Amino acid sequence: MGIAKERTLLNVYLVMFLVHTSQIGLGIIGVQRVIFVEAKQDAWIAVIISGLLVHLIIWIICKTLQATEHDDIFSLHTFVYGKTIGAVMNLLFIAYLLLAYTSIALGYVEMVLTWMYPDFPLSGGVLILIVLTIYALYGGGIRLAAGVSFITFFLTIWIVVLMFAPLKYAEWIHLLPILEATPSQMARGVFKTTYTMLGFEILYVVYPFIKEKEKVLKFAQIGVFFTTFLITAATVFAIVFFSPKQLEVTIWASLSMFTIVKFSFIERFEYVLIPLWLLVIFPNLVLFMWAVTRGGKAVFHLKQKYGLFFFSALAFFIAISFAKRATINEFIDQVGYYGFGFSFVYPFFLYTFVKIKKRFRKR
Amino acid sequence: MKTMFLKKKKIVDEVIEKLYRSPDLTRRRIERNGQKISLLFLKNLVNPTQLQQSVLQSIQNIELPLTAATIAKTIPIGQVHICQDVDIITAHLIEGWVYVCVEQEQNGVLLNVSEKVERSLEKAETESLVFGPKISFTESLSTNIRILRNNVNDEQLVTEEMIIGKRNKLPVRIVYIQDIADPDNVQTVKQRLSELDVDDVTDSSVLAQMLDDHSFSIFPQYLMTELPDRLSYSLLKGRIGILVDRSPTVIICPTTFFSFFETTEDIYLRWTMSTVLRVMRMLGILTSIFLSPIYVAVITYHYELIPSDLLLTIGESRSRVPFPPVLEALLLEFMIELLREAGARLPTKVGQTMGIVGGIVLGQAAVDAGFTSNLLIIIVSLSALGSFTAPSYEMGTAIRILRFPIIILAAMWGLIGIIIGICVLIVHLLKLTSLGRPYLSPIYPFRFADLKYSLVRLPQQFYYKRPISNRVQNKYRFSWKDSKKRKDLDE
Repeated sequence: MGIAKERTLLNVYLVMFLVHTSQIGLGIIGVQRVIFVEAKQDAWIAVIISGLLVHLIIWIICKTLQATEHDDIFSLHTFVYGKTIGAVMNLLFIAYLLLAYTSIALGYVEMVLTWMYPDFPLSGGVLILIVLTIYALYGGGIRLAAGVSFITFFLTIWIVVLMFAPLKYAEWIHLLPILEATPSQMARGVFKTTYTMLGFEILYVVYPFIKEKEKVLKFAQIGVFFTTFLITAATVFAIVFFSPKQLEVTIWASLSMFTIVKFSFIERFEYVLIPLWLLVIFPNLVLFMWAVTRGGKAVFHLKQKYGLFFFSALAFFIAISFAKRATINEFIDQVGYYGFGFSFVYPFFLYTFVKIKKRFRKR
Repeated sequence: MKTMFLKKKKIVDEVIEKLYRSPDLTRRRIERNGQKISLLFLKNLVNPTQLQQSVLQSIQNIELPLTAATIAKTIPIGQVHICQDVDIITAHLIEGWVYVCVEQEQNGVLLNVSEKVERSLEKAETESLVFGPKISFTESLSTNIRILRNNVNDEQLVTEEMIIGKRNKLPVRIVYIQDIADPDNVQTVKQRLSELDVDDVTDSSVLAQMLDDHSFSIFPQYLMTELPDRLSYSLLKGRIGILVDRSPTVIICPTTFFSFFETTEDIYLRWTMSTVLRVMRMLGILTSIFLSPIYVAVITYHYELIPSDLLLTIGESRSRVPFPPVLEALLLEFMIELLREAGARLPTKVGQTMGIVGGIVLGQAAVDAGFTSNLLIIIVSLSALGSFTAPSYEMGTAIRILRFPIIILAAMWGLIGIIIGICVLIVHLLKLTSLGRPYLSPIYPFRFADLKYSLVRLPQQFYYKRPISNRVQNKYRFSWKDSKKRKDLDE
């Protein structure tokens, strides 16, 4: 199952973009407030710590995948837990991926509706995103997903340069005093950052499709590093730009910072940024839906092209059942917890299980 | 086989019958010492001087007895073929050969004295250049091969012939350089051509559409050129050309998206200029696709985006316009398309007048009448200009059409609609292949070394490697080390 045809294999450098673009999504737009509420001016340290954690987990994931001949999470699960429990674990993982997909779509549509088109129906917005994903994946598969993440990365990376524009109003004193947060505050800060960092678990599914497996770790680390760097920068900039009281009530801190950016021909740059952000979340959507269809293939032996339609329909129904703002936020939070479990805790356990199982096999 | 059973019926009569008694079919009888010879030919297709001087005269002078073999040996004509099969004879007669039948033997010789319809070599019309070679291909395959051989005198140049079309047979040549072009690509081309099951192929552009990987795409998937230098350049970079008889355009494959925005002039100009020109062209294309949609989106939904000074100007110029921006934009775009189409259909002399009437008078009147704003006139003309910078006519047209769905998306959902359009476009381009090779190369799959071939230009010494995207067999053009070697200061 894990063995892909030679021609669908991806060059290893693409891992960098796959990991990075699947990590960067909606989180970076509004994460600053959430962390700041917990860790105050040390929020950026919390980001760095959780970044380091991700580096560690990436290493564990690669170790796990290299340990046996089973090179994706679905076959690993059946290997470790046997058929029945393995299938249950796979289902849970698929459910997580599907929920993550839905939460990204919902979150983005909600942001668009709030800022730009208050009258547009939420279900319509979600439907457009789902149809876009189907179009990308149908007849495209992982090659398309990788291509989308590669191209959209370069289409949006220039926004980083604009992030420096608000810095002329920066009050660097806001960062002081450093390391004031208590360990528990810091821990909560780290925990809150994790939702933004999620996405690297895609490596569990993408891994068999990479050409030079021994280099995957290196490139995945580069991708993660870049993500951590961006989120840290966004957090630091938000802390120095806003006053503490202001930041605590600014839901979309990054967007609000961009209101400063002005060109002679564009005022209110954030209105360009929100549409552009579709390019940032598009690879997220494509990658997660692709991973879901891989799971469907592994568990139900469902052809990916049929699974694509089935799971998309499912995602749509999940999405429209959360039509209200409050429920959307709750839903996204829940997915965040779920994701924390699967991406930050579970890899350690899986690694241990695989090691134990392997030892048993040898005897 | 037929001749064996119908021995009594003579070849000549059978041929006449087979050609449905064409009024052009001429039969000339000659008798020498009681030996009867018949010459059969279609009078409009042969070269009369050659017929008289080379054929008739020499038959008079050949030593007796006359046999098909002696005629074939002695006649001063390049292509000679002894034959008694009626089908082959008629097939050749249609192409302008002469059949010399020795009636006693019931055997004869086919002689090639054909004269094809042909125009003289002229300047390229559709791909006009300021700088560089001007010659262009013509409608004759043999002339085109001659031009190509003239341009590329490498003995590794292969020109393989294939015949396409069940009814109207069309000679096609697959040309490539044996030790550079990827054998897989050559194989694919041959296979696709041999799998074609059609009665008739009108032109190379029709053939290109038949070879398409994705026939529902808006984008052309094969580069068509009428410039021999462009063909030879592409061949030496590992591509494959398909020359088609009766067509002045050559198919170059595999093609990438960006090769539609290259001209041969880019190579002839200094690298600094051509880099700037290439980037400008790309910007022109982007302008052409996105400028009017952005106008529609911003005016309809996102007033906040426009700085207040500019907003005043725009508001003033739009104050008299009664239509929503979409309608205004579509109307003007439609007008420009009409102008272009009318200009293309009309004879050149009338065309100029129409350009002035349409462009200046209509545009001015539309603004005065309060149909459109001045600003939109500027935008629409700019985007029309942008689309004309595409060196490939086909690509330019595709881009102009592409604008319309994006304008509609912009009208529906504003800037998000445009970004949705971009997403669809990216996905579509990623899905496209040409001859099974990725269309978006060298961007994806990313080939850094190939960027200098498609997006920018560099000084000549950097072109020591052929493009990787073409999967060339022979990777190097010259040694990188030698090109870097510099002598000492005073040597």
